[in-house]
Amino acid sequence: MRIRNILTAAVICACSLCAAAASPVEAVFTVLPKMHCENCENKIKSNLRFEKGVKGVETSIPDQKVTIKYDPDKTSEEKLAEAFSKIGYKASVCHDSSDNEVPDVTEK
Amino acid sequence: MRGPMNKGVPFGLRIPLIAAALGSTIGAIAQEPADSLDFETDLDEIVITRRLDSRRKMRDSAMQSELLTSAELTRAACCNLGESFATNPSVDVNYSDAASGARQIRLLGLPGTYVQMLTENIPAMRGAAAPFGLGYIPGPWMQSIQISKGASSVKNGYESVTGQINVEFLKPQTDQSVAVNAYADHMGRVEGNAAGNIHLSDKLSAGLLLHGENSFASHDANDDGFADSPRVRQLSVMNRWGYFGKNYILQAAMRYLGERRKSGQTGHHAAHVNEPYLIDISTQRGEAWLKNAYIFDADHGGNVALILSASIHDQKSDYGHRSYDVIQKNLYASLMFERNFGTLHALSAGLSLNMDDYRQHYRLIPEPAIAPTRLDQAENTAGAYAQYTFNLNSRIVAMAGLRYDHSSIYGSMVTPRIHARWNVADPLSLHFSAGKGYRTPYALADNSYLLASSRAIIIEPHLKQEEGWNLGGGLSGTLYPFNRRLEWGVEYYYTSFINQTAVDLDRSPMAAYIINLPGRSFSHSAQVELTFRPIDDMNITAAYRYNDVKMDYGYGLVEKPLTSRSKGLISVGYTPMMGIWQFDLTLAITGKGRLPEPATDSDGSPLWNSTYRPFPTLNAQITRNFRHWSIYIGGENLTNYRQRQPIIGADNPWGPAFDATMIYAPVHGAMAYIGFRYTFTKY
Repeated sequence: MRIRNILTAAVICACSLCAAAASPVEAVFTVLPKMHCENCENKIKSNLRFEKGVKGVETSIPDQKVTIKYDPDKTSEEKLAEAFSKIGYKASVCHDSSDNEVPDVTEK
Repeated sequence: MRGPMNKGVPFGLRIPLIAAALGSTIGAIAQEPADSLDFETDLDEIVITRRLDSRRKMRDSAMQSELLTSAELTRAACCNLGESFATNPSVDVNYSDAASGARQIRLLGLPGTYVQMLTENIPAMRGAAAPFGLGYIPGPWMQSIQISKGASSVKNGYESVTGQINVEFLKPQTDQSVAVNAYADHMGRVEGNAAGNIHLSDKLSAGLLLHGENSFASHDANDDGFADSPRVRQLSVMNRWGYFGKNYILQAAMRYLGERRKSGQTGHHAAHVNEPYLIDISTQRGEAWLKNAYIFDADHGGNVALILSASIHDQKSDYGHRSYDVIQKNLYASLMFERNFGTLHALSAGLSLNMDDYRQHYRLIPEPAIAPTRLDQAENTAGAYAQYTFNLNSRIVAMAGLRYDHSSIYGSMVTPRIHARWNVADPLSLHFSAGKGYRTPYALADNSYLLASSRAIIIEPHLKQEEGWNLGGGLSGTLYPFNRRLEWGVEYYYTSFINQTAVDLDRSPMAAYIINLPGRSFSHSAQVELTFRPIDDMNITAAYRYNDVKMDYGYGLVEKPLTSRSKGLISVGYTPMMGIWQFDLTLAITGKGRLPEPATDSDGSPLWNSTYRPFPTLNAQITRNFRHWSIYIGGENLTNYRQRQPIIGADNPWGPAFDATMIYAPVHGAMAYIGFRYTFTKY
């Protein structure tokens, strides 16, 4: 009986913790300069993955988008943008389709 | 602050971008594989290709090539080039003998001497440097490895018969960084590497690469009195420079390597031996190269490039009372012109000059009182080539090359090579290649490992130049069953020699005959390979290869000894949590093979079996990545398979039956290792 009570309490605790943890949210960023290659993608992924609260990083060169899944209790879009700046990118949150147009700053 | 925020494109990217923009056939400078640039581009438009893996087939090339990036090299210990193919189904690395640690590559079932080794697209590890050359390139120095099977490009010379392996070192023009790596295994081997680069201006950059290794212990797990692996002490340093101007590109490097390798009856397990059999090999090597390219027409990839390379390799080897000392000097120059004509056609043409000089002193009879014999050999070869490439939107790519060379020893050589690829659609691609290759044999430099035996070494006086044809083709493609990517490939290669220098170990168990092969020699090699991603973070490669390698030493066609008939491999990579963790597991089953005709003891019983059975080897590694750090632990040969009798007659190495060259499987058992990597990059 005692063991059952302990287990029940543990399950309730675990459920409460899960419920308390905010569900991850997604933010889509565009970056300057543009991502050109896997090297650019790797640079972003390998650094952003270590930011506090980041749960996932997806990059898309054709769309020029970086999608970050994060815990809003631990980080924010502003902090993530700051993390981009540390590796040399200016990141802007992409709210609507008009943000999709990214000027090309490739040196020609 | 230098970086993309205020410069548009970072220096590290901009430089290779310029190079890549000049086209895939630029040669001297931009002939580097696009491992850091997974796209095709021109100066006006960036065109992105699909996302690629750490090990990838280059389906945009007419040649059947694959690229191993630095990410692939972190899947195993990969302390040096010789240990970098553990996860690769195409390339095998075998020990040449059970004592000295000499290793050689096998491609398409044939020895590494028929694979042209290149560093930065310059011929390397030739002649005397070949037996231990795979240990001369530290793993952390490598940016990528490019493997081309079958007939290769004629640009790099006539030497490849079964393929090319090109190593690209870390580049000074990439993002400024400092990287440090250390490794230790439970056998007492420790290694340390450091690499750093600096941008001195927008155009000029410099890099420094350091490597040191030492083995502190001798192990003798099989109790035969011989160390299972040699004690190697190596120090190596490379300094390289890069200048990327608007129309002029220069890359230069200098390198020094010093190595001491001791093996044989050493260590406490051989303390009771009165006259121990010792192997002592010391090497001093210096090399320098310079690559210049003048870009006269960037829009059409037009450039003229000059490559200059020089090396000196001084090696002193003692195998018991036998010895082989060699000073090999090499000079190489190549002048190339390349240009695209429209989007469909590209032309490359050039001249080359290669000078080899070998000063050798050898003592093949194991009598210390006998003075070594001197043998000088030299060969100068001048050549010219032209290569045409047709490229229809990377859908149909064809390449035809022809070169003419004149050797001061062997006279004229004509080397034709063709390649074609048809990317029918994503699920299906067809490729075909045919071509010829030549190679100058240096009996002792190529086969110095034979000194680790009591076999009499008998060399035919006039060895002909080796000459062979290679023909191959295959199908490959990408499918998406269950919405998951599956890459598949089937290929077949046939190699046939017109002239071959062979080591006949069958004629007598007491002798090794280095001869012009009087009969036929061929290799059939067929391989099937699947790479599947069952879940996003997991990659599984399964492959099987069958080799049929036969030679006629003058008494009928026989299977080439010490060559496995098959190999099966399954390699699993799992990188959960955005790659913060990395789990790698590779199981290889090496198939059965034949051993040379065995000697018999006084009872008439054979001293060794005439065949060996299949054996498994398992490697595993766990890596934890941090922002700047990685820590990895792993194990090699976890199946603990060891060759039962790696050294014949080990109890009496001065006797007639001693032979350490009959090696086909690992000598040491399971091995555990640990290491770390630290990298700080300034963006």
